[in-house]
Amino acid sequence: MGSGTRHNILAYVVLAPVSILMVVPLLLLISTAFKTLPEVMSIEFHWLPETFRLDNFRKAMAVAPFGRYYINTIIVVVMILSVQIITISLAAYAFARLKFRGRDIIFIFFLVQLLIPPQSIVVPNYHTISSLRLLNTKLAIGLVYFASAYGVFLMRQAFKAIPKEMEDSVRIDGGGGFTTIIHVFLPLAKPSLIAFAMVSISYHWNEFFWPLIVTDTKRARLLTVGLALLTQATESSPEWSLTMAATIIVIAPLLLSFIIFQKKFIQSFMHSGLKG
Amino acid sequence: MAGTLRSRRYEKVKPYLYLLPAFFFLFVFTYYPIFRAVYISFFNWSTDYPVKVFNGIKNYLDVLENKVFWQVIRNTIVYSFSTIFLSMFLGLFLAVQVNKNVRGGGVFKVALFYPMMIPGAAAALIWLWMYVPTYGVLDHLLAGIGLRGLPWLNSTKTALWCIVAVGVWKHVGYYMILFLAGLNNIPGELDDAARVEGAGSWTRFWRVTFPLLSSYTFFIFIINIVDSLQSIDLVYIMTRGKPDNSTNLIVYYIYQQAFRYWNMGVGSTLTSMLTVFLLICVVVIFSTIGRRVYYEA
Amino acid sequence: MKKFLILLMLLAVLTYSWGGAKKEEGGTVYLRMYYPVGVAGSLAQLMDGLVEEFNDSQDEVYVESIFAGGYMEAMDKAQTAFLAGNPPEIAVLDAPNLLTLMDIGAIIPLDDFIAEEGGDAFIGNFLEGFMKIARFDGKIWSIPWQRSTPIMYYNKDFYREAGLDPEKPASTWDELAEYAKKLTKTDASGNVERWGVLIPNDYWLTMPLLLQAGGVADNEPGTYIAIDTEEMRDVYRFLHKMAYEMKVTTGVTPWSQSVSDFATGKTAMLYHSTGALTYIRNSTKYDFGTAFLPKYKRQVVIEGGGNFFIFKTDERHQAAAWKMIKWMTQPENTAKWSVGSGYIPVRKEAIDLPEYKAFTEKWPQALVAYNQLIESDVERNMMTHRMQEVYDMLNVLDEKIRGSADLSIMDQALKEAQAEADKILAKWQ
Repeated sequence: MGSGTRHNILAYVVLAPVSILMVVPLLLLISTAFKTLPEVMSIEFHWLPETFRLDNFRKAMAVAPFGRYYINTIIVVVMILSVQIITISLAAYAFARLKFRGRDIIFIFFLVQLLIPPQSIVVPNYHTISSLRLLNTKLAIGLVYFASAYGVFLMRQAFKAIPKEMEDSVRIDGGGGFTTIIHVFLPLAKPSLIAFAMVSISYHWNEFFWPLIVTDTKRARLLTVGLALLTQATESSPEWSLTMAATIIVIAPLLLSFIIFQKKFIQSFMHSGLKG
Repeated sequence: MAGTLRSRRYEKVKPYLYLLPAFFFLFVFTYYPIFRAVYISFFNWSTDYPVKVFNGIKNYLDVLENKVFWQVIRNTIVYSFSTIFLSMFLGLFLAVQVNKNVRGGGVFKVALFYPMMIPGAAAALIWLWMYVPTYGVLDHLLAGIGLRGLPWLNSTKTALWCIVAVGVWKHVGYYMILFLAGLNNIPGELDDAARVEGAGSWTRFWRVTFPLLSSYTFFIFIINIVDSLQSIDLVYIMTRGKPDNSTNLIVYYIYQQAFRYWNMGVGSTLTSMLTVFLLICVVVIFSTIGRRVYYEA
Repeated sequence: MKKFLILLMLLAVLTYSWGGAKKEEGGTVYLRMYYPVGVAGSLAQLMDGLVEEFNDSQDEVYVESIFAGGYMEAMDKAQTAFLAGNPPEIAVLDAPNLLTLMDIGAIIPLDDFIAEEGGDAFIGNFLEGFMKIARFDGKIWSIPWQRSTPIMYYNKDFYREAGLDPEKPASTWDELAEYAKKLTKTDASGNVERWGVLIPNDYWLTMPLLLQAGGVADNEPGTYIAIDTEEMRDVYRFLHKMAYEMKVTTGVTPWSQSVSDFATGKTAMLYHSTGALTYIRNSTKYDFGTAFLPKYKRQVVIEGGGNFFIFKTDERHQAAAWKMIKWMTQPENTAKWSVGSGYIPVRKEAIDLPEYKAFTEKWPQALVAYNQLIESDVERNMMTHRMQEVYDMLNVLDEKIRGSADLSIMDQALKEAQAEADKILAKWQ
């Protein structure tokens, strides 16, 4: 009992300061976003702004169409997830339940994708998208992610864990693979599905590089790219107060969702072992 | 009779049909690009040669002879290993603390994990602001302890480590969570038995907990090293590879060659070198520990 | 049923996200224009405002102004877009990119359009200093738009504080070093509170120094650049001395951060583009002035900035693009642009327009760049093939030499850089 409390104190002594340090950037972000530019551009530093002004937020919305970027990002994320669910459920079903030649080898082919994300093969993928005349579209952002090795892996595990008897009722009614997947597998694998969805959504909401390469105009631009553009000026420094306000606009939804649904998010990542 | 024959053939083909959608995208956007990159790598294709011209292996020789290439490789390895080692080490340590069921554990978890929910691009911007010399926050905070005037991102000696710091800040929570999961899978009895035998907490950790975590740890380590070798978000926003190429990482280098200098031949060469290297990693990983993971799954 | 609905939704999302190109309505020609300025600054709003005015003033052409990042990013995007078969019809790009754009066949010469406007008479209205970089191989390839020269910003309050005459800023290299020494301020523990001068690591600022030392940067056709020369060594020795012996400046200074360094009073003097004037005006609380670059063996300066380029598309779009350029470069519009940005007006008549005169009365700092253009020698900005690669390499060289306290690496670094440059330009030599 004695050693228990001693350990707890050690834990606090470690966790408290570290947590505070981790949060400092967030505090700075909030503090800067409410200040005026001259206030920010001064040698003295105060945590609290002189007055809390929403000017920076208003200006950020005026200077770049974040509303549009929001819509684009939501569409892309939903599109990717929807298609992924279809492709991975079908593939997982095949791997989990069907016997066929080359099953293991083909599965390995899928797993390879875990280590070769679109990031490293931007150059050839760019050419493919360009030949398909799909540059500058939201579809182009999503295409490279429609097959998710991670998703196949996860769902195969989940499907395998479902007892065979569950399928019997469907089979007796004469249903085939599709029906089984939709009425038996997906509902029973819901936890894994949700975990996958959370990882996929966070990953694609936060993505930057591939969308940057493949889109050019507001029509298909995502939040992260729009945000980065704010700092690219030819003859001046970034307007930090404005940039920080814009950053809050971009990260708020996911961050707030995380704080509200923290257990679910953390659990999803806990059993991932891998990202994306 | 004809009916059964057809349905039997259908049964044989059916699994492949199920795989088709996923496999189609996998092929077009993962495997085909690798082949294409290798193919283009044998051509000279740049603003000097807007129409491809066959070049043999000259691109590869040029790349290997280039000092900057080796600097980039070195940077990437240093960045990747440092970030992962530091994050994992800290993550494990923190996980052990959080695992002690402290009150307010939820709050700590949120505080440590939230950076994962912020896009790399946003983290880069916040830290870029923090790293501004003199009137940025870090200098203000450090002025309090008399440590002012560090060059942060403006010196070849410190710039890469500044980026490593951001990487660690972002990922430490993630590893903490993973290790928490691992720790929870360790049967409590083993630890209790050790305690009964009189082993101190440090000994218990190294002799009981850590070995049981190790294969799990190793797998995560490898997967994330490979993932981290391909970082670019932070570098693109914070330094663009400067100063003096000290923060130039391989994916940024590829971006520079292909999309900035429009040197598609060299860009493809680098891409094919990178992907071949990754494929070798895959083979090595799966022939050692991967099999265990696969069958366990 | 649910299945069907989901599939339908999915189809809808996919079709919407495909996103077709904006259709041209009726007889209006639709143009996309890439441009590079600071997006958050007033410059982007100014540009968008001007474009909107143009669109409202007539029906034949509609221009969508697309912010494309800084000069680097804008060129990347334009180049990549062209090579992917989808170029913008018109773009403002850093003028030296001319050769690269020509090499890939992206742009068209403008002589025919100019002839329609009166040929030499028309071009004569533009400041000649800005036209040098638009000419190549006997043709004219671009029209000046946002043009600048490097100037020196200096903090008058700090000058007074150091006992220097605020109306007599440093005018030679020696004075620069001497004044910088007086203006540098360190605190009790030896940390520098204020630098005497900051000169960012950008070749656009190193090149005037090189020319002032009597050196040469490149050759006319852009096939060779001179790096391993005595004059280059002269420049770096000077910069090195200021940073490591006199300790009045930093070794590595980022281009964009240095502007806010000046605005916050972190440095007393700054070498930068006249285009930074608006940002500094809006964010500093100090009394500041602008001046010619301090001279050395020569009083010479270079020009820089972005020009309009017309991309090769089809006659209709090209003619529409010319229409837009004509409108934008009218004296009133260039005056409006200069007033809002600090760039130099490209049309001679613009200087005399009342609104520009009123502006320069209030902000005489804006006139300095123009005067420097008229009164000093003006050389063409460096221009070579494969400009981006050459430029990046020169900046890396700059960071390498100036970032190291040990000057002995300079010889080796210059040799290697020269070899690298020759290799890059090998095809053209």
